[in-house]
Amino acid sequence: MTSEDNTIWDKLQTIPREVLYLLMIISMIIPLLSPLGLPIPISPQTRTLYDSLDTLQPGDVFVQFVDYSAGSMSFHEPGFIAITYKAVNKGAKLVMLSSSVEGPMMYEIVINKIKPFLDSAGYVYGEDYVYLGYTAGEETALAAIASNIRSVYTTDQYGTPLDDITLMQSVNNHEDFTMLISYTMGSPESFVRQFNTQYGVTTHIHCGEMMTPTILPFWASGQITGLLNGGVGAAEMEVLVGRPGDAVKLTDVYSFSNLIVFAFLIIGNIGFIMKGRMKE
Amino acid sequence: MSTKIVRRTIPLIITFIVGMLMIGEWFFNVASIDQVAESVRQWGVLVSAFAMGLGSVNIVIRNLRRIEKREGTDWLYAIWLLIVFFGFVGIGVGMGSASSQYQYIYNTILQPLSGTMYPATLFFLCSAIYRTFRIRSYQALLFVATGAVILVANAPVVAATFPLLVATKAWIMDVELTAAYRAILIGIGLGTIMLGFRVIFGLEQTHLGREEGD
Repeated sequence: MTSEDNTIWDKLQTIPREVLYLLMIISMIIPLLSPLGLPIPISPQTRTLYDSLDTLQPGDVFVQFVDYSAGSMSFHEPGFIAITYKAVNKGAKLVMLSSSVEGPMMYEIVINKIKPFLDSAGYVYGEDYVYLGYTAGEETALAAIASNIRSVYTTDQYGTPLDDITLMQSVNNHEDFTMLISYTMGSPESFVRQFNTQYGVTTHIHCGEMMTPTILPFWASGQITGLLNGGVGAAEMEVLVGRPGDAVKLTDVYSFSNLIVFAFLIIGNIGFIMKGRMKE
Repeated sequence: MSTKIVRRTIPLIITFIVGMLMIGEWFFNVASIDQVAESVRQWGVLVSAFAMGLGSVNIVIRNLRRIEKREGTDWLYAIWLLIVFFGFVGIGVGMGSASSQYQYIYNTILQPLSGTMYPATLFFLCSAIYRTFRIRSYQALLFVATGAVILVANAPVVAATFPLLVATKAWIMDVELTAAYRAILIGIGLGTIMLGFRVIFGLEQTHLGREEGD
């Protein structure tokens, strides 16, 4: 390497990745240990979801697809808890199911966390909420659930026949769903196609940040009513329902880590541009 | 000849009938068609569940072969994979997935590992952004500027401090991105319709595998 290749501008472009990683880790740990309570603005996508939940009436059936996995649990779970809190406060009945393999495990974990709240609200399993478990088939299964839920599920997760479950006696197909939400890292479009486009069921999505750009056109067209954008969306929902939790704690982390990446983006380009000028 | 009938002609006839049935169910409101279509969807769910079982058997066979050949160091991972596989299946089937034993191994092994893998990609993404987002041209300037606006506007503290950035991000997402992605979606939709018709009418046969002699 010549001295021409070892200027300050070269160094700015070649900062070791370990430095970036270290700063990222620090930016995550500090806000977690000492939350700063930075303000959280509410996006229109989250607002429409909240407003839609606000229209739930006592006895309405709110279907929740627990389709996330351990990888996205950090933001899907707070979103699920906040939304369930709102739906329960409105008196909605909860029908929960999964079209992803890890769904049942995620359900067991999250239901144990919100069980005290459900109990305090007087919610009884089988009467006010039910979990039907996992079904294979992905979009084919969604189509079957929309047309006749009993063609896919004959029992709940714990082996009780659907006809013996009080809540399920009046739930057969899409006509009985007031609205639904999918917590997913997969393909949210399939919910739009099978529930909203075909039957007009009010559909909400809570997906990862990476999926949000692909699903935004459906929100803009009204095919998706509410859209939670990953962890930030979950934090916004926690703020709206008045129960700041894990997602709100993580927003400081998003703020700091995003700013560090932005800073490195600028530093790298300053080095690149100045090096180019020096050559000229 | 009989092989061709079994491997090609019959599957093509089944594909045609099922395809026309599902299209018919969508466009016409006939109770008998609806009933048959519902049964077909049920079969679809069953076939998917069967495919998962088949995939599991395939994993076992492939890894047993790898262990048998003992090439490189892959076979050691294959042994570990089979131990974990049969461990999970044994406890899950024997004691049930709701059992405390199954939940224990899931919560203490799979959940933390899976939970670590996804966020770990963040570090590589950050490093990649730093190294590759260079303003080499005016087009690259637009690309970097757009990415930078989205990046900082996604930081709640910035969004709360600089409303103009949020408005800019919203414009990029609602106008630029939505317009571009809609075009892609419509293209995908038209392509899917065309492919669907090709499959239904037997013009596209790749899903049936290769013909003998191909």
